Amino acid sequence: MNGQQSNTACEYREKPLILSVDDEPCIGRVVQLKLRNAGYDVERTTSGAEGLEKFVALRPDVLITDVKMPGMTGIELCGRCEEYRGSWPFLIIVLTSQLDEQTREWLDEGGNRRYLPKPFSPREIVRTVEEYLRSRELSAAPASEGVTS
Amino acid sequence: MFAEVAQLLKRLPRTRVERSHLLSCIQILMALTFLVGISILSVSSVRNTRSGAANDLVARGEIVTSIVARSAARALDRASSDQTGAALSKVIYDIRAEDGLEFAYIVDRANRAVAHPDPTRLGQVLESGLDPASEITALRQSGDPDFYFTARPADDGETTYEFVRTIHLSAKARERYLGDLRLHIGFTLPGWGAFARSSIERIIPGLAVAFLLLVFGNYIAGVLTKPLRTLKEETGVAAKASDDWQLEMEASGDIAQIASNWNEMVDNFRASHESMVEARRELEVRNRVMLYEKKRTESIVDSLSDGVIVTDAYNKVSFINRECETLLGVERLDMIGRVPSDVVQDETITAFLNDCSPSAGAHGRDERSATKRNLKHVADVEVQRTNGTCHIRAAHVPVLDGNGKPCGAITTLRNTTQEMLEEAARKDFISSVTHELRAPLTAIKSYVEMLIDNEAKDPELQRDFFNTINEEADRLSRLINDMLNMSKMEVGNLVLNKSIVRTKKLLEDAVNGVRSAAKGKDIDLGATVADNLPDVEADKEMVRVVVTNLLSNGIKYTPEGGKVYLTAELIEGDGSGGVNMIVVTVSDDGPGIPEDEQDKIFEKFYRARGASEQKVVGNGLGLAIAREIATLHGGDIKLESRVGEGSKFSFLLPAAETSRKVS
Repeated sequence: MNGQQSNTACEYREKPLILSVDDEPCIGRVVQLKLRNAGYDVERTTSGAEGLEKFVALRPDVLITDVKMPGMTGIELCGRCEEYRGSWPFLIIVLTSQLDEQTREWLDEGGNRRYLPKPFSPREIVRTVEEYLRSRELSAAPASEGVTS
Repeated sequence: MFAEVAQLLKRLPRTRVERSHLLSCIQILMALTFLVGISILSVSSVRNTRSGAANDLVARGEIVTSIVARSAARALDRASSDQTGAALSKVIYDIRAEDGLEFAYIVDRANRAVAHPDPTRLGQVLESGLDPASEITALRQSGDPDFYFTARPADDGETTYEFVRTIHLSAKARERYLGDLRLHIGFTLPGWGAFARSSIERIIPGLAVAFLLLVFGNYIAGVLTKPLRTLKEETGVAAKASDDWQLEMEASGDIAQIASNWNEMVDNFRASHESMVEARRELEVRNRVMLYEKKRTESIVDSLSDGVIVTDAYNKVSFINRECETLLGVERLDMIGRVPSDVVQDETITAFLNDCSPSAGAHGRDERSATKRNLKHVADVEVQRTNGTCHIRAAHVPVLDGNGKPCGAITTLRNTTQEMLEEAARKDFISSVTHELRAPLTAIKSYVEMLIDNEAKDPELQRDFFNTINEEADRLSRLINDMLNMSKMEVGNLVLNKSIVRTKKLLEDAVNGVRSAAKGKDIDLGATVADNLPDVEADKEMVRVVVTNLLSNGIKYTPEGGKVYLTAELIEGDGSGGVNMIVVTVSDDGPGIPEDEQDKIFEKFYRARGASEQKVVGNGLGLAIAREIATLHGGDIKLESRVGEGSKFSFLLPAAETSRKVS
């Protein structure tokens, strides 16, 4: 039921919503500015706990999170968000300076999880988001057509 | 008898003095007994002698009277009628020389003396020659009717015997004397005293000879036994001597040979004794060396930072060192002689020890265990302690005998907790440094790229971007400086570049430097700096590092909406030698630092448990560098903190008077 609501919510959203979680305000700000300039709605928080709240409430299309944060880390946040994987389609982008092997494998095994090593390029973030949204549209189009027809 | 004497001798006292006294007493008693015996024998001898003398006297009296009677009868027969008196007197006269003769006379039928040595007594009636008042002690009427005798005691214990015999006369003579005559002869038997004296007179020469023989015998015995006595004394002295056992005595013959043999024996004994003493000394030295080596080895093994358990073929502990007591939480004495797993409480260690025990394979529980007991086996185990988890690397190495069979094992236990913590701290440090380096680098790269892409069109935003890039570059610079300073600290190469520093301004700049970070967490950052703070001679940048580190820590650990406050004041005469001290105190509303961590947080790379729990970003270098800098300035950093009540770090900086130029 949540999945249907979210899908409906995503479909009626004018712009894709991106949630940025980073304890470094300057990083969060540049991500927000870059993605807004690229035409997306961007919500920003500086802690994992607040990020989870907004993720559940706003159901963003993309979650961009730092890993090393006070309190709930980015990996913990990702794990909690994955619990909603069946509810609506979303991409997780992890910004990290280093990853342990286990986390790297975890990020690699899912199709909707990416990681960008620091120092990252804001252009790279935009490109990753665009690629995901395009691929999501492509995968959703035949189904929509099928339903329409 | 001899058995009784032997028994008696056995009961003799043990000590030589008492024994010799008793022997002397016995000798005296024996001498007295001998004397008494001699006396009894002497008395008996005297009695027998006197009795014999009495018998002899009686026999003699009988013979003498018989002879005299016959002589008198013949004399009367031969004599003329007018010569009869003279003939009888001559007969009496002839026997005057008889030994012991007391009296002799002849009487007729009317007891008138017809022959008597005293002419005045002739014709007198003489009943008896004995004193009639004295008691008759002996009287015998023999079978001869013509003879009898009586005995009466006389003076001086003597006894007088009177022998009476009838003289049968011829018819002619009978006519003249009107019958037969009677002869009275008295003999005196000497008294007891005389016999005793006689006996003594006979014994004395014998005794004298015996005494002389005894003395001579003693002398000869003395002469003969002197070497033996000397030998006895010398051996006695030698026996009591501590080392001089040689006999120094003049002797000849067998005694000399005995002494020579003794001395030879002593020489051999001494040589043997000396070699034994030498061997014993050597043995003692070896024992001491072995004991020393054993103690040294035990001390070395005891001093090892690793725990060591040595078990025998039956898996019983034969040695355990001190570290093991600490690691296993057991008493050494409780372990000796017992199977380790019977004593050790911790399950993980017990499981490891059981796996390695000789009986592990025998139970068929785990086939690998049977192999493990013959091979080196290493495992990392965690032991729960009251103060936390203790990581132990346990290694079991079997000890094989000459046939390659296990005859015991050595188990070493290494406390790897510190290594694990250091490794974790190192990884944490690398992670932190990586993050801390990449974070400003990421900001700089992102903002620069945004500017290049003309994403920030608003000049105000552009200025803001440039400021951010500048701040992040400074942050990067500080981090690099921290790492450089730490590197210098490690090689002892951190040198201060001192100048006169305006303390008040430096502190205000430091507070302003972290104001943006405080604002980001909505932290109330305040400061009170005393007006009387003097300028000090110090390394300005280093002092700034210290204050900034303290402030940054306060902000990092204080939750959002909290308060961080800096105060600075001058404490007069608080330092060593009465030097005034500037005390800069940074207090925060953080979680506080447990007492057991308050020293550790000043160690490099150490991060408080609260830091990990809160996931506070940091590299664990700030406080280590701050304390080093404070120390190099002659100051210190002190901490007051209680869990749940925040922390208060005080930077003590000596405020020596200076006249140098302000930098």
